[in-house]
Amino acid sequence: MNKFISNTHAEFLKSKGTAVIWITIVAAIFVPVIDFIICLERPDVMINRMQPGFWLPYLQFVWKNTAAIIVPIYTILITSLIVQIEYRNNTWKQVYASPRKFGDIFFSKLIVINALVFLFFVLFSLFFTLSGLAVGMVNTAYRVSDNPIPFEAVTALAGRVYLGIVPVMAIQYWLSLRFKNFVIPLGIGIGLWISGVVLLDWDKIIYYPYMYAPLMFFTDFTNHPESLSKLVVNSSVCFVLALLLGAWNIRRLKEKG
Amino acid sequence: MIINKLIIETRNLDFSFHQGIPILRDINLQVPAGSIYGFLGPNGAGKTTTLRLLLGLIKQEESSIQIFGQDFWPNRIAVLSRIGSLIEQPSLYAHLSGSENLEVFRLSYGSDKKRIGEVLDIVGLSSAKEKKAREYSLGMKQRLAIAIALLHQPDLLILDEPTNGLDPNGIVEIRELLRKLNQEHSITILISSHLLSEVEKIATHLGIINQGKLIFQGTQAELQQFKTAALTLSAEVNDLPKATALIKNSFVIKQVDRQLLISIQNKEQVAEIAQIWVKNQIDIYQLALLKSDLEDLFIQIINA
Repeated sequence: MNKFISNTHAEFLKSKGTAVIWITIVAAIFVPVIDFIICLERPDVMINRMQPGFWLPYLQFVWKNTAAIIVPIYTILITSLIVQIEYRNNTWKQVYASPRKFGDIFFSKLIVINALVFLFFVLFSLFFTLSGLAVGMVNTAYRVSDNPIPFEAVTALAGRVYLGIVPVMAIQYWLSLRFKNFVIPLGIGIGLWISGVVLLDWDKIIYYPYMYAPLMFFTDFTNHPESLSKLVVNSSVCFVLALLLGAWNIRRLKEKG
Repeated sequence: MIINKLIIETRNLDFSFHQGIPILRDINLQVPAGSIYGFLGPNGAGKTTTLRLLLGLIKQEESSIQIFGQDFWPNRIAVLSRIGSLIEQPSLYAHLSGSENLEVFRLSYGSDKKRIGEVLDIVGLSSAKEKKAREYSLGMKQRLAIAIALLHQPDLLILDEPTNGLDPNGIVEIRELLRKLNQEHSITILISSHLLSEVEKIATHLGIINQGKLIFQGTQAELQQFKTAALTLSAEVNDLPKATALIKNSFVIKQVDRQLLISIQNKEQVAEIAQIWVKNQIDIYQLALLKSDLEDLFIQIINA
């Protein structure tokens, strides 16, 4: 176990000085900043839209584009980028020639990717809160300070969308390990996401992993509470299956590095 | 230095990526402990594939590879924890500094933190440790890669063409470093190259691979004998049985159609054979020295 912790530490060190942290910050701050500007520029429309109570309508407003576009694209990109560190530097062979078990190599890198995705959700929730507070400070007509920040709703929504994106992370991780060329996993991921957007009204969309994150946001769970448990189960099963299949497939590769 | 037991031993090692197209055939590599073993062969001969098999980078669990007296695959982690390696180009994280690169692998090897300073001293990179690896010259990259390979104080170094792309000074530096590691730190070194001149100055043992087959293995003195044995004389005479009988005690002879193929050590032996036959009334129609594949191979690895 100590060895696995050391190796995971080494995996984190490998991402030091790369663009991944900046991409995470930019992806997390982008929509809250844009929506802050919209609220300031169009108070005539937005003050009414942010009622009642500002925070919950604002939460929906900020999450809409994030769940549909930013989260899937960010996850697809960040997974490829982390795996590419090894391909770009020609270091896979040194990693596999180290005294490390296969599972150790596979899962320690996955932990780094998962930590970045998780960090995105933490930062996004933070930037959402800050942008809402900033809207209230700049334009008091929104009456932001009259309403408490709904931390529970913020956390619950972030948690749901996070659960929805982990299968995409697992599938993309498999693809990124499988293909040396950065463009292939990225292209497949974006292609599958676009196909999902096109198929969003399909009645079997609940079996399409690339749409779980948007569905976690867009589904009306108040009227369809059973959909939430279905999505959570599908998402978890898909995550575990993709990881197991990916690990099995990569372990069986005749040549590594 | 006492050289006795084998650190690496492969038995009848075969390998192919696709069925029917063998890459390696019947490789019986024997690397003695304490040696510097030069693994020679022209480009594409199978050197890198052999080294990748030794490090488990190519998976063939049924192959008979013994390292430190243990079967490789059942003991992969234990064996790799005693090997340092550099396969093809140096494996470095270009965006990290020299010491950060070492820290990444130190964490994996579980070595003591002070080893970073020690290996930087050994390879002479202490003053450049804070520079990003991307700013290093090729020679510095090779040395940093060797430093990584030395982090866990390995008993065996496997280096695949570590002087590739280096200028003459860089080649001398690496050669001196390897000699020092072998003599002062008692590390067995397996080093591959496509040039005999690169390894003959330091190698105690040599193995030559060509088209996937190990065609020679032994000391440098044994290599000299092997090279001369590569000459073949082709002879056409009137009486094949009699001509054969006259020289069969001194030479290895093979009959192919109406020709005799005779293995000789030097050109003087051509005259010797001719004199024996003439004295014994054998009519000689033709005598020719054949240019063997082996000769071509030596020209490649000696003069390339």
